[in-house]
Amino acid sequence: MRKSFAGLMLVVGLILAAVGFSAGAGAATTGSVSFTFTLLTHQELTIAYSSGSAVSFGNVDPEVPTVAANYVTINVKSNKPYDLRYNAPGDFTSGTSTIPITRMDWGTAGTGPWTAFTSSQTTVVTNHAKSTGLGDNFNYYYRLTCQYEDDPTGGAYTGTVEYEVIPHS
Amino acid sequence: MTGVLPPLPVFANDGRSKAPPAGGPAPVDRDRRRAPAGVFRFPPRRAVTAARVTAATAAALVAVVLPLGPLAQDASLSAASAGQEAAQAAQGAVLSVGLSPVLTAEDLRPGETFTLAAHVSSGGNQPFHAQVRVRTAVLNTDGGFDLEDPGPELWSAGGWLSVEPSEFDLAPNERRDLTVTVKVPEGTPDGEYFAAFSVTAAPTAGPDSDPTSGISARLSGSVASVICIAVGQGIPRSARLVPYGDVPRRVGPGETFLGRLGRGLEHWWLSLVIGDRNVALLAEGGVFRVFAPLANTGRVHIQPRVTAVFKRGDTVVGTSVVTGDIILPGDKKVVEVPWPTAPLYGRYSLELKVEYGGPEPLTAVRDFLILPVKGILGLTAVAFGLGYLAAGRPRRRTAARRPAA
Repeated sequence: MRKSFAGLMLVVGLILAAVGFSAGAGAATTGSVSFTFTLLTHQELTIAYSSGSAVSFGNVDPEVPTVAANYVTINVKSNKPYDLRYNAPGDFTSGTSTIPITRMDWGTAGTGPWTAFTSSQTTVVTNHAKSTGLGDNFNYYYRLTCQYEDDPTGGAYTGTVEYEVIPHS
Repeated sequence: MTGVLPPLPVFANDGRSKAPPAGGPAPVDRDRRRAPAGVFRFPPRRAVTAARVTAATAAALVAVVLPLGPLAQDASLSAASAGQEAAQAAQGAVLSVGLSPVLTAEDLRPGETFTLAAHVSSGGNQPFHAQVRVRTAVLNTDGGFDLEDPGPELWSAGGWLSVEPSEFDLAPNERRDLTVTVKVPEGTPDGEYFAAFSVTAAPTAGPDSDPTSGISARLSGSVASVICIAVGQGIPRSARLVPYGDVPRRVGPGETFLGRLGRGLEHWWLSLVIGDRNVALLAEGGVFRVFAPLANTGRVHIQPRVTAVFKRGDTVVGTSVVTGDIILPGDKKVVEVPWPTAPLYGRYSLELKVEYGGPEPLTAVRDFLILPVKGILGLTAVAFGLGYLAAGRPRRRTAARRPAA
């Protein structure tokens, strides 16, 4: 047992020594090829719905918080640090009827907590490190609570939220 | 408005990785005063006495190995196909918009015009209508940019931009080139200005995008590109090498406590240990990297071009040239210079030159030693094995000669 252990140490040691030193000697004789290119700064924003092509609340009763049937995954790929912001420039509209966009909340889980949308630009991620691999995923769920003063005869309402990725210095 | 809860996690830079090491930046300044103008020279040191070297000086330039190779290549390959994978994973529509470049810098004189080539790409499975907007970028206190519509103010550089085309449609996996023209108005005062343009992708109406009942919200995506414009002729620039630990590092939101701890240790190791010992113990067999931490001490942006010349004796054995990130006034960043073909062991010297547009480039010289770690480990194992054998023989012989009781 003792002999075999010592023998094993010798073999491993000799292999390591041989690989270590011979690789170094070999490296001194190798050549190299130069490659030149410029890597552009690039950012990519992907918005993926879990289903459908819009955040759908369906038919909503007043004062009943309704979580959208689908959620959204926002994927950011960037080789620069970045900020992610949203902007809700207008209200829900249906013809001439409107419902304030502030009736809608967002959260990172379907159970909340919830944050109300504002009509001004809002930062949700700031100075995020540059992406690796498949990028950075952010899941967002949406909840809507209409009020009695909102016009029910308007029919289908549609609103728009814009997500924006901006390079950080 | 419904009740506003505290904001959901806003992932912020957690500031510096650590406080500057004991001794602070003062030793660096002393060294710079002794050296010729613009030259940062490391004091000579030996491994044995290295502990006395101030941490700040030692941290200013370090050379270590970080494995790249196959892992990094795999990651970039995977990233390239991320859009397609996301499209396949999602059950619903996928809107994807990309933009290059997103951060550029240029020196211009009043009245001068500059043209930038950019391109927009699309992915996912949803066609979109793209609209290009010119904006004025305002640097906020977090180091980010707030984008505003161009105004009449002198500093509002958004109005200097024009982009062609300004509107277009794009199907999935298509690309559209943009021509961005920057014209600095005559009489513009010298200084740093920030302009931007953004490309907003609104999904083209699909069959289920216009429901006949219910309430729905449609999302659009926007990517922005910021252009830093230094206006003036002979703009004075200044920069200096700083301790590695002085440079803030960004922390991703998914980084765990152990991850942060590991990064902190890594930075501590990079900053102090290698520099103190003047030895790159881990350099054998990997991609050798030089870290050049730089601070922009001027009033306009710099974009450093770092040249690292590796020598063995008087023979140049490798040269790496890297153009670093744009560093805004008052900001600090680390420029990483790789030496991919680094030999496995030996004594080398490094000559670093940083050109940033100032009157003289910054220079630094450094000696370092790459140890043959595998070879030394192997010899140690051989010695241990031989010693083990030698130590075992006498005991067995003595026991064999002992007379029977």
